[in-house]
Formats: sequence, C-alpha cells, structure tokens
Amino acid sequence: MAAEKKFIFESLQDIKSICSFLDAITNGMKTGKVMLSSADECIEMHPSGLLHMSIKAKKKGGNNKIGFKIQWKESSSQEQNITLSVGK
Amino acid sequence: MGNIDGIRENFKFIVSETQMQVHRIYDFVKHPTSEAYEKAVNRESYINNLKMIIENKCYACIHAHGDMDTRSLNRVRAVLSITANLERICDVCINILEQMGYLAERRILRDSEYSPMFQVIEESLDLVSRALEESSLPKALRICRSEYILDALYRSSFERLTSLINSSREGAGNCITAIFIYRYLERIGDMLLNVGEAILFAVLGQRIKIEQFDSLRQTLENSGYTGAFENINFQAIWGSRSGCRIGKIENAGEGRMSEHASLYKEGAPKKILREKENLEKWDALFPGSVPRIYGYNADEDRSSLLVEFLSGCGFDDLIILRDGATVANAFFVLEKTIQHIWEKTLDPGPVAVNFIQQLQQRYDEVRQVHPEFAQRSRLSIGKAHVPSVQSLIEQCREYEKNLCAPFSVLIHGDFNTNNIIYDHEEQIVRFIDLYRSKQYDYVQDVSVFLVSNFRRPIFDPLLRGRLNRGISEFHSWALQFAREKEDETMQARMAFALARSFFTSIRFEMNQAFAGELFMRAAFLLESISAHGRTGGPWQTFTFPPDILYYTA
Repeated sequence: MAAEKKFIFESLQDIKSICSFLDAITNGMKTGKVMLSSADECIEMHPSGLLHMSIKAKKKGGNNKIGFKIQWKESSSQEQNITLSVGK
Repeated sequence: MGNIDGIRENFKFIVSETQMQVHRIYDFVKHPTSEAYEKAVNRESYINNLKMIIENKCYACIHAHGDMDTRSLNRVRAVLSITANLERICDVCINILEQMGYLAERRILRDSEYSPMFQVIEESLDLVSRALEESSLPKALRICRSEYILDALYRSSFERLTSLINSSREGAGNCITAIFIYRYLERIGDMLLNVGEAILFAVLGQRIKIEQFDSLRQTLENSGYTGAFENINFQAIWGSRSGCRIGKIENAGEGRMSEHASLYKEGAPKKILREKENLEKWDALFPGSVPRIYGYNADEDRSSLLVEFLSGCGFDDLIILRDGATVANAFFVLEKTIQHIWEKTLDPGPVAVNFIQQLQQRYDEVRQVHPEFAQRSRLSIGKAHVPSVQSLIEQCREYEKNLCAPFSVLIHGDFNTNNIIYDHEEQIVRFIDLYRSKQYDYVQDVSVFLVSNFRRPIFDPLLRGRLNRGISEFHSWALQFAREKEDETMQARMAFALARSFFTSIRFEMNQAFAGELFMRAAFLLESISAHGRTGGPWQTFTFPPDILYYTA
C-alpha cells in the first residue's frame, strides 16, 4: 500500500491573502498540476478528467463556514482530493 | 486496616528495626563474625515486609478517609517517605556488610573514623519517631544536618585513603573497598536528609528543602520576627513561572508580624535584588502602590524576600468572578492609576524596542513544548509561499531595529492580570511581581495585559465574553492614550509586542487546539509586519485587525 501523503496548513489570513492562495490553487488546476510542499513533504497533484466537487456553507449565530472540496481518483485504487475551508 | 494508630505502631517498629540493623552493622564492622553477618542478612526481608505493610496501610488509610484533613494527609505522606528511606538505609547496611567481605586488611578501617559516623546515624535515627510525633522542627533539622556532618567525616576518611593509594603503602584494592564502606555510610546521610525533610513537610505542610528553610528563617529573622517557627503557617509554596518560589506565610502565634500575612519569595539573587530595588523605587514614586518589604536576605546562590501580602482581588479572578459594575469600576481605577504612573514617569526621549528579541530569548522553550509550531517550515501552495516561522522571526527582528517608541514610561514589566490586585473597599489597584519593571515602551504592558486575558484556557461562552470585554475595554483605553500622546507608531509596536506575547504564551498551553489559536495569531502578526516591512512603507500607516485580540468559544 502506498504511504499516505499529507499536507496541512492552518492559519489566520485576511481576504487578500486568502484570495492569493485560492488563485495559486486555481492556476495550478488550470495547468493540470497543483504542488503542495513543506520541508518534509511534497505532494504533486494532477487533477484531470471527471472530478467530484462539493461546496458546503454553514451559518449559525456568528459562526460562518464555507467548505470547498474536490476529489478524484487517478486510478481505481487511488484517490486524491483538495479541501478548502473558509470561515469557521 | 486504614487506621492511623495502626500505622503509628508499624512505623515505630521500622524505625527501631532500622536502628537495630545499623547497630548490628556497627558491631560487625568492629568484630566481624559469621553469626552477626547472618543475623543482619536475615533481618532484611523482615524490614522489607514491614515497609510493604506500612505502605499498604498508608494507602488504605488515604483511600478509606476520603475527607482526611490536610494535616493528617501530610503526616501519612511523610510516613510513606520516611519508611522508604529507612528501608533504603537498611539496604545500604547490607551493602556495607558485603563490602566487608572484600577487605583484605580490616585495620584499614579506623575506629576513629567509622565510629563517629555510626554515632551520628544512630543519634539521628533515635530522633525520628519523636520528631514526627511531637512535630518538632528542631529535631527534624538535627536529622537533616546529620547529612552535613557525615559528608565532612567521609571527606576526611576519603582524603586519608586516597593519599594512601598514592603513596602505594597500602594495596589499592583494599583502600578502594574501605572508601566504598565509608561512602555507604555517607549515603545514609542523604537518606537521613530525606527523612528530616519529610518531617519538615509534615510539620510545615509544604515541601521545603533544608537550604530553603534556612534562607526563609534568615529572612524572617532579618524582618524582626522573633516567634517560634512552628507558629508559621505556610499556605502555599509553589514554583512560579519566573523561577522564584513563592509562599504565603501567616503567623498563628505571637510575633511582630502577627497582624499581617506575608509573601515569601525565594530565587536567584539577581532576580530577587531587582525585585527589591523595584519595589523600593515604586514605593518612593507611588507610595502604597506595591507591597511593603518586611525582610530581605542575600546569599551566594539563593536570595529571599519577605513582602506584605496584599489583600484584595487579582484582576484575573475579578474579571471572571465579579459583577459587571465592580469590574467596570476596577477597570476605571486601573486605567486612572496607570495613566497617572505613565504621565508622571514619561520620559520624552525615544526608546528602541526589542519585542522580537524577547521572543527569541524564549524560542527554545516554545520549541520544546510545541515544535510543530515553532519549527514550521516554509510551505508552498502552488505559486503561493508561506515563509518558515524562524525566517519570519528573523525578518521581523530586522524591521524592529528601525522602530522606536517616541517616549518611555515606567512599565510594570510583567503586566499579567494576576499581578494586579484590586481593593474594592479602598478603591485602589496595587501591583506585585515587579522584578522586570523598567523605563520602557508602555506598549509592552498593554500587550502583556491583553494576551494574559486571551490565553486563559476558559471556554465557557459566558466567561469568555467577560474576558473579551476586559480585553476590549483595556485596548480602547490604550488606543486613546496613544492618540492623546500623538503616538503614531503605536499600532506597529503593538503588533510586534502582541506577536511576542502570543508566541511565548504557547509554551504554557498543552491544549493543542488552543495553542494553535495563539500560534496562528502570532504568525499572522509576524506575516503582516513582514509584508509591511517589505513594502518599505512607514510604520505610521501599519494597522492590524483588532479581531485578533478576541477568541470566541
């Protein structure tokens, strides 16, 4: 079984920075390659073909959340996904 | 099972059995016989059993009396500790017995050397039961001090034997075996010290090392205290974050300080001296704003200070526990007091700030507790990049070099809410823990105050709301102060200072998610500073979203 590769980045950002991260991802999607890396891990993703996308939004009291998830399989045994969450 | 009288009886047995075992070994060292050897070895399992019985009874007693008063509980704990040490003394006795078998020449051991050692040990053991029964500090201290005497006796035997080895007049093996035997006697001193300290614990209710006790006594004597030490209640001695030990002392009997409780602080000499000097400075400038000093004692390694215990309510408790009107009033008094202190001590000369340097000084401690935050590497998300935490800190340190506060004031230096005491009746606030006080940027105190509220691990929405209101009130007031003083870079310095306070607070937080909240705020501020710095724009235009100061449960 292939080792699991994981990339997690959690932070506080202003709208401008969030947009630049979203741009970086959409630009990668357009070229067919999204790279996510830290010192120990590098994940190269190639979204193509038919992808599963879900957008979830929630508003409760003062809490807001937008979830953006794209999932796809490279072959029958492998699955990749990109999850974006905005708000809380 | 589980009754204190039963334990008392077994305890007396183990004490007397230890005394007898030591005496057997003493006799054996003087006149080794195979009967004496066997007798001592045979008693070992009996002593082990006795120790186990006492342990079982002590735990059963604690279990059976769930509502046991602290004094009785402390006594049971002391019995446990003393028993363990007595059993170790008996083990060491057997070690001595075994070493005797390796001695080629028994005359290498001198009666004039080992007899005084055995005498000290026997005299100390003779005191154990009575010291505990009578809660006698002098007897406990005599037991503790036997360790010093045994050390000194060992040293002189050791010197004689090592010089014998060097002169080759005696077989080295024989000398080394003799050193081992004396060394075992010296180790019994260490165990007796533990026994004495366990009795001190039973009497005083607090774990206190003999050197700390000596230091405390010296300080109390310097303060003019003439009463008996048994009359002092040590309410709490705990290790504070600044590395000082603090305890509240109340006098239950006669003596000069009977009308007031006091705080005893003990720590590194430099720290304690700074605290003393700052207390004097504050009291001269703002009489009554800080605790009075009752006593001070400086030693080479540890110094101590005895200060007035301030009555009133710490701001940390006040914000959470008191009603809205009282809290509002307390904030009003605090802000007026601070305004007065800052106005009076304001020095119009600019002062360089070093918030990031302070952060770096504590970086290793943060990394120790939360390496996942402190060592976060550079991240790439497509063509967007997030710099590593260490490089962010370095960049900000560079930018900080160009930043000055336009004026300085006398800051508290550790303006945590628990260092501010509000007296509702007298309508005053007073301050404690002033060893970091100095002429500096007031933004340091503002940021420490705000983050000391933020970082409290309180997640009840109602109580969190109270903390957030406190943060909002003090922040607005500080902004107003900055406007009055036309301090145009306050926001920028505040970002540096808050980044420092958020980041360094992580080291106290074990809750991963909440530590993450602190870290993300520090990282956001560092990133914002760095982004602004890169543009080369003036610091006067820097701002950050005030939301960063609040946490919603």
